[in-house]
Amino acid sequence: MKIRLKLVGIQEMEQLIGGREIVLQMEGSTFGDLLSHLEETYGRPLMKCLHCQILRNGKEWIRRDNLTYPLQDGDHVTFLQMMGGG
Amino acid sequence: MIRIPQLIYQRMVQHAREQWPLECCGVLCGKDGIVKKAYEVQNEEGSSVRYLMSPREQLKVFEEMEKESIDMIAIYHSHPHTISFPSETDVKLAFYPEVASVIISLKEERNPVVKAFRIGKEAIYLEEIVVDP
Repeated sequence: MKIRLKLVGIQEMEQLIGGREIVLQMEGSTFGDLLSHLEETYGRPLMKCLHCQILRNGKEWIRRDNLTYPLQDGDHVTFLQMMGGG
Repeated sequence: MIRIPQLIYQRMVQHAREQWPLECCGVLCGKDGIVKKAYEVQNEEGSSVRYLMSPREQLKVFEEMEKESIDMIAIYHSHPHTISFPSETDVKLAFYPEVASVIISLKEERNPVVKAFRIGKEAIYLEEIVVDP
């Protein structure tokens, strides 16, 4: 399955994957599979950068712990550095 | 130092008042520390002690900034009941150390206090705000 991954405001992660946007080919069909693919490809340091929010196709909000969230071939998945506080 | 046009400054304080008793949040953008535009963003937490920017709106802000070739200068939010100083949560979730954090305190209803900070890994620095007429 082909996924277009876009990073917004996550410089550490950009350095690890070598850019703000990549197209990746992965096995599986869920958000959890995408995370596994990223960990296998770029290693654990990448996972430490993931204090972020995730959008599918710019609209659907994927919760970080919703590992069974289904993805489809050609989806655009955006990781945004979280903006929050108290 | 951050320079904010008076109209944007007033609108930001008004945004905080409109959202009271909940926290408001938004982004100030511009060039070289001079704010040109403010984006009000929905607080997904709907809370008086926390904020989390809507990721959809956050993405739109980043896309517009890219299109208009402007930078993020500050992230602002309100403290409806506490002073204008970063909370523990603000420090914990300060993932944009290169931009200032503007906090609007409405602790004193008639006297909003607006301050800017830079939240570093080891210290919090006060940053000057200049309001341009």
